[in-house]
Amino acid sequence: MLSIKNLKAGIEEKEILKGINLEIKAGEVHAIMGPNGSGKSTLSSVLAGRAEYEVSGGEVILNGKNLLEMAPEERAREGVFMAFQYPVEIPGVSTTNFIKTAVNEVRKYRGQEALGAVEFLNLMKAKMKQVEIDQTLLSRSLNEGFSGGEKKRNEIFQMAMLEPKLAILDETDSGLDIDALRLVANGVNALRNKDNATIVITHYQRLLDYIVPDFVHVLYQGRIVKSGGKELAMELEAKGYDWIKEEVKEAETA
Amino acid sequence: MSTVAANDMNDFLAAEMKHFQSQLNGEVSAPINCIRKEAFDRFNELGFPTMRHEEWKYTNLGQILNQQYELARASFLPEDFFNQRPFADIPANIVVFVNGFYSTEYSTIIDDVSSIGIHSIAKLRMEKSELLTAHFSQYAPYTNDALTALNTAFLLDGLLIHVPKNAQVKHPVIVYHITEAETAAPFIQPRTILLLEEHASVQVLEVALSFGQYQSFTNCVTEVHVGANAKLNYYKLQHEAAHASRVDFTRIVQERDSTVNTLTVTTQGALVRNTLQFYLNDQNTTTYLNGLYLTGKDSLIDNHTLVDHAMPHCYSNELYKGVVGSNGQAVFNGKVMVRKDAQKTNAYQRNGNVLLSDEAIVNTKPQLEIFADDVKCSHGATTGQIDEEALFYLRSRGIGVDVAKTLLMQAFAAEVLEMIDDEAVKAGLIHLIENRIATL
Repeated sequence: MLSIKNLKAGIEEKEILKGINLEIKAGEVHAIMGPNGSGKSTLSSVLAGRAEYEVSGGEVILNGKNLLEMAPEERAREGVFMAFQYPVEIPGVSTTNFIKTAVNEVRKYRGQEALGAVEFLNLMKAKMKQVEIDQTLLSRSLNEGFSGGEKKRNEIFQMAMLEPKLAILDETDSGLDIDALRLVANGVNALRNKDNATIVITHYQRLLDYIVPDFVHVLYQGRIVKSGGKELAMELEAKGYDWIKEEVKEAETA
Repeated sequence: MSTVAANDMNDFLAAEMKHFQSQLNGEVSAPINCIRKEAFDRFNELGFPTMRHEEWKYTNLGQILNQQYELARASFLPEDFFNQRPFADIPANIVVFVNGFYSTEYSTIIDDVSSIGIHSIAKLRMEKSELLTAHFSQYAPYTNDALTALNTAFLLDGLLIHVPKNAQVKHPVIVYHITEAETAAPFIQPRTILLLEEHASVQVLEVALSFGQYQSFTNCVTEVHVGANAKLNYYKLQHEAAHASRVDFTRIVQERDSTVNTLTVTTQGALVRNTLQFYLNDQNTTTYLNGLYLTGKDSLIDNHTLVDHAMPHCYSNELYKGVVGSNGQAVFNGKVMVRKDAQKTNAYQRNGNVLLSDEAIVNTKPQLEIFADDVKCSHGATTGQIDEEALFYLRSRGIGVDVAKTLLMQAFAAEVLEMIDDEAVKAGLIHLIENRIATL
């Protein structure tokens, strides 16, 4: 589904990603872990299409299409969804109106008819139930005055409504207490199926107790330096990142 | 250039004044006509303001005075145009003016005359109405304002609304000021007088519309007196064509315990200048001034407001917002005066602007002059671009860049409309503004 080859990117002339390679197939969950400053946020930003990041090499192909040539909205319409680490508060834009606009723009792109008021409401109700989000949140301005947990649940709700092929969860667990984390993870798990894939970017192993990955990759100094199964995450939890750093150092001097 | 044009305009006005006076017949010696003549003299002394006047620093009237106009006369209004007017579905007292003249054909008053008097000034003049004589030019003095003097000098028709003591007017009054610029370029000078006696309450919505390809110049003056404990909601929607120009002077005098909510929405216009002034004559008044200007290509929209706190325990709160696109220009000047005796004043002011292009210009000047020592006052002005982070967030959900910008601008503007408690009026305005923002 997604193929990242030798991706190099940075911001303001500073190269942060120094050649990322990653293959993701439908139905898989990949976790990307790494210490602070390893390039995790840059990777998610580049995939979502943030303009301030510059790609200096490599390619990203989503279902045969060059993702890097697309505007952020085109990527979303092609099925990429990023759950933001810091969802933006937008006073005055109602959550419901926003989601309706988004859903219908995506449908238009896919050659589907826009949803009418009743159909949209029914879809919303079903998805609300699926990800356990309350109606009152949705009648408010987008993320305005939401708690950290509410914002993250709103992200997962948007994901449910847009039914992406590739979901990128950017540090979705940061700042969440265990109850909020469980709710968010339940939502993500409810949306998993054989046709979509998920990238979970996280600093902590804790989230992976709830969203169990098929693969774990360690990002360090702009490269994926180690890949493995879910046991790799356990090992990182137990031993920290220092042994990885040591390994990289040894490999460089060798 | 502009001096020459202003001179042409002055000659034109002098000739028109002579002609005007020759046609007044029996009214020549009436008290109202004395005011007219004095006002015209005063206009000639003052002359049209130029950019050298501090209050007109950014707004060049020369560009509209430079044009040829005809003094407006009673004109026609196509039924189709009227039927497609905004707020057509709201049950209301409808008052229609075409080029400043009252239309009996289109006006319909549904509330009882015991709760509201809605009068054409032309008719009141014929009847030698005491009400008109007693209130005309009482609240909007012309001594320091040339355009107000000019409007006063040419008083022919206009609207006088009188809400008697204790009357709560059930339906809103919607006043349509329609500019017909299809047969000539009209110079229109409407006058509005709103009088609320003690404990009276009414909602007035003014809607300015236009049709026709000629330019137009409207110079309107509104004087308002709000009696003790009375409540006025006074909303203006200036929704004329892009080639229409308008200078609006509104002076509101508030008595003890009264409440006035104003909203001034300007969607477009070649040059629109609004002067809105509040005189708080007694204690414990409440005043909200809200405004929204959407300034697009070749458009200049200027709002000058003044809240004059002369007495203690009064509250004023001002919020003006603007979206300026293309090569549009906006001016905001908000003056709040807190005089020595106005202790315990609460006065707040905020102006926010979003610029959509590199050519767009905003000149904003909050002006607080405080002479009392026990007051709470604040002001703030911001000018910025669209929030890129918010824009990216919307786009990352599949919303195209133009739609996303429109959503953000609508949200920005919506705050100004929150104060409207009439849901139908609010919905109508939101609809109109959303459509307009999408074109900026």
